[in-house]
Amino acid sequence: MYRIRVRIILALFAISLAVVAAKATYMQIVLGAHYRALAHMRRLRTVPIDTLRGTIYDRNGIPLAHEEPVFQVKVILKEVEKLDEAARKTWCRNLAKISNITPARAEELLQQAKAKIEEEALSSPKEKEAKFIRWFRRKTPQVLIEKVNLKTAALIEINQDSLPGVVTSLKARRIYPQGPAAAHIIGYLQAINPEEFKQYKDSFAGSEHKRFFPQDLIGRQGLERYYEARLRGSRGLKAEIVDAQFHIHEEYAERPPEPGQDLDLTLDIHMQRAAEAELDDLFEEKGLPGSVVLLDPKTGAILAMATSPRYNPNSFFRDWPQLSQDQHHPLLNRATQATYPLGSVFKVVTLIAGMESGILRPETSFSCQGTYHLGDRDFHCIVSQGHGHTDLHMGLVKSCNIYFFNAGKLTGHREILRWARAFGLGSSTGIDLPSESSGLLPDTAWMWKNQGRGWYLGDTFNLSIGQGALLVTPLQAARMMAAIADEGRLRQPHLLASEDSEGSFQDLGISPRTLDFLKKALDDVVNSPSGTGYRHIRSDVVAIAGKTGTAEVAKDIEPHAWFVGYAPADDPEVAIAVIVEHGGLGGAVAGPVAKSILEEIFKPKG
Amino acid sequence: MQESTFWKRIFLPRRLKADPMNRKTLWRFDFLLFLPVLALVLIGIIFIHSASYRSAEIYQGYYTDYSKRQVVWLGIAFLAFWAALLPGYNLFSRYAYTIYALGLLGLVTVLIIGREIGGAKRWLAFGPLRMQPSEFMKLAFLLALAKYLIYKDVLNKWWGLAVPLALAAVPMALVLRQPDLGTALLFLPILFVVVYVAGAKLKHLLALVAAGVASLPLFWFFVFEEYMRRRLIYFISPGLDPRGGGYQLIQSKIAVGSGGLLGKGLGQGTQNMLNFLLQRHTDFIFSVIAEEWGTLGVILIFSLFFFIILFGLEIALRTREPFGRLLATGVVTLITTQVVINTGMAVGLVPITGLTLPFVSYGGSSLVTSFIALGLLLNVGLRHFPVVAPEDFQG
Repeated sequence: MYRIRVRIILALFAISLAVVAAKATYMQIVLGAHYRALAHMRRLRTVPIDTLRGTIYDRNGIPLAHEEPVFQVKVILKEVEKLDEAARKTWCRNLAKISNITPARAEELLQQAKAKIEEEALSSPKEKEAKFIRWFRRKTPQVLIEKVNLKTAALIEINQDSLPGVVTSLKARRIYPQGPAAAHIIGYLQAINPEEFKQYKDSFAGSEHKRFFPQDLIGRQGLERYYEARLRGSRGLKAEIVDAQFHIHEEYAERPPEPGQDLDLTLDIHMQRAAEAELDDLFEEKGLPGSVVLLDPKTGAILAMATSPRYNPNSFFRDWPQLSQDQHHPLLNRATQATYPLGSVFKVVTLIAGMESGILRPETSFSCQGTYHLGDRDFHCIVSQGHGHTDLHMGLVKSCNIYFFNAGKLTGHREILRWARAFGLGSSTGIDLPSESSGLLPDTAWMWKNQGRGWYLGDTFNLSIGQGALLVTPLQAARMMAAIADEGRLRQPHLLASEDSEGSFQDLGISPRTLDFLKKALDDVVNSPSGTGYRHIRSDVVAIAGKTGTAEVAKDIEPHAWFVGYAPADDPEVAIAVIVEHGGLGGAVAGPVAKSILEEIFKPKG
Repeated sequence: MQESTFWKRIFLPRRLKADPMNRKTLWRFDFLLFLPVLALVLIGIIFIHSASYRSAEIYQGYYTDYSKRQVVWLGIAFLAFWAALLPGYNLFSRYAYTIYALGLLGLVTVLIIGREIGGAKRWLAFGPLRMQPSEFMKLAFLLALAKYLIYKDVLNKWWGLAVPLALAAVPMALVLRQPDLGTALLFLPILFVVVYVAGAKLKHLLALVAAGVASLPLFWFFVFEEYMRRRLIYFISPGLDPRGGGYQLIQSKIAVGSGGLLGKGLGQGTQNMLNFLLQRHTDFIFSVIAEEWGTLGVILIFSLFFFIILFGLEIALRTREPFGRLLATGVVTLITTQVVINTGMAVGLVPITGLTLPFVSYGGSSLVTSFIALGLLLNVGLRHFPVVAPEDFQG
């Protein structure tokens, strides 16, 4: 019996071993792939490498927005916590001495860093995760001082021995070296908010490295927003092999970061500054906001696009409470986002419509007595006693309303609207900026829909002189004038230099006869003594041509002052639109602004 | 004469010729049993090195390369091995109860003045050396049990089981007080197998098992400490707390499973080298072997242990004297149980308890105990005829 029992035991033992061996073998061979994946996942950590956002340059290569290296002081709290009370006092003193702060401030910063970790830990719903956050953040560097100069950073590196746990790191920060200049065009950056994060989560398909992270900055306004995808570049990826204690055993860059593309703009920062200086003067002296657009009529390139008042993108978030309260809306880019009635500037459209449809001829004349009675309404001319007998040329040069009432009546509103539409009035230009306003060009359908009536003759009168429901942006006005300056070629306004295309335009088909006549008239508006712009706009430096406008808004409110033109008159290089909100007479208020800017641009070099 | 051969000169220094049988019996030294042990020890040292050298470089002051220490312990273990092998085992039979009493004394001592590490008082410190009395108690218990059971008649009545049960219960209770559940539970398989082989009636044994199972709830609530309950819970569902109680089981399974057929190569195991697996030079050395040598390594280890079991029980079979038989069976049971529990917990078949893999794991007490056990086994093998001192043999 003994021998049998020993053999039974032997069999039992052999079976036990076999069971364990079978389980191990099963895990290794059948489930091997599963466990290998688990092991791989556990040891490999991928760490993103930040990339640099592209620089924005003006047409002469002057940077308007770029990344600047900033040194940060970080602290590994675990190391500091090892110090005893006396050693910590010394630590604070050493840090204070190097980074030019008081020891008390150093202690305060340290407590802040701790509080930040605690805040993050408390925000996580699970106790386990909170514990992990506390443990992990304590052993990885946390920001202590946001920004220090190179000297301080170097001193900290040198004095590692007396500052246990302190490290420096380099971070890129967005800088706008031109300050408030062109602020609205360039825009600014802000941390992505949760909604945007959700929205962009799955965009940038196919390029995981362009994906946003929750703390990322995103372009908020202007080009920073419009060209976000081009500017931001794509993150690199570094693979690290880490052990269970997060100690890095090996690291290698799997994919280097791709810096964002630079933007070369058509904008000329000198012209921009000149335009802004004029607007700023006006705003400071009279509190009048305004906007200026300068276009190259031969390419559609935006040379300057100024708006006032403005903000400084470098201190945007500090100034935010003030900016958001300001009744003058400094955040608005008036050149593309604000709409105004065009006033008399629109008369050029009426003129072209009339001449092109064969209804108006240069010799067509009307008599102006200062008032036009239509039913029970009176439509007034700018000169109350009237211009008397006026032909087409003088009608435009003197900006006679009565003349254009008659001209509009004869031409018909359909023809005028067709040309206004052709010039792109009341529809967005498609410029490479976000949130462009389209403005409004009323027609019969619009009237029925919004006013509950048909198109009346009075509407034609209003339209003929750019009043009524018509609303345009300064950019639309500038583009219209650029098309006239460039023989009726309508171009796409743009800010990016690579979009320049001299061959690409839409020919509006205005006859040379009409254009020559119109250009002569626009020249005379400024340069003949009878013109509305003669007193305030005529310049000895450059021959300016254009049309003034005084856009009525409401009774007892100062009208908007317009000047839209180009220079030099014989071979236009620049088209300009100036608006001064509630400035009063176009010639007297907007005109001088245009004149000063153009003189600054065309003044003899040297 | 064959007695003056090379082997005798090596194994038998003249002044140790206490037992006249030695000269004749040394011939029968069981190399087939001894060689697998040597292989296991060698593999152990290699993997202890693999499991600790990298961490010793990175976490200086916290880790050392334990393979060097293991070599030192191996030297001590060999001395203990010879001490257990050379005197005729009748000597151990004669002093079995004394040794048992000394073992109990050691367990009591450790509860009073023991060094507490990780919440458990298991170690007695002698200068730089630490030893676990519970390790030696296993052998002391085996000797006492075998000695008691040489009188086969006692097992004919059900109360004949009471004394062996008491012999096991006293040290178990003391070990549980440390607390050390794993070691305490080791007494049970030894008890059962030895009693069974000694000829206990099956119905008595089954009744005992039934009583034990029935009293499990009592143990759960009154004897088990909180950590023991937790271990059992985490064994059943390690996902409950992957960073805490379930961590080690998950990491160990990943280590074993990711090894595949051929393994990742020595020193290439990521679970090992990247510190995911804890206690990997001691209790979880098997996981490291499985990770780095794969299924082939697993089969090698199990084959070596199977040879030890096979040749160990062969000694038990060829011995005609009851104390030797039971001693040999007990030693094989001790080794096998540890192997099955240790490897079983590495693959998730058995709850995690602090048990070493005999001959392979790092640890002085474990290695020395294993080698003493081996010495006793081979000692029986050398002297398998019924010629121990007649005054002891009264059955």
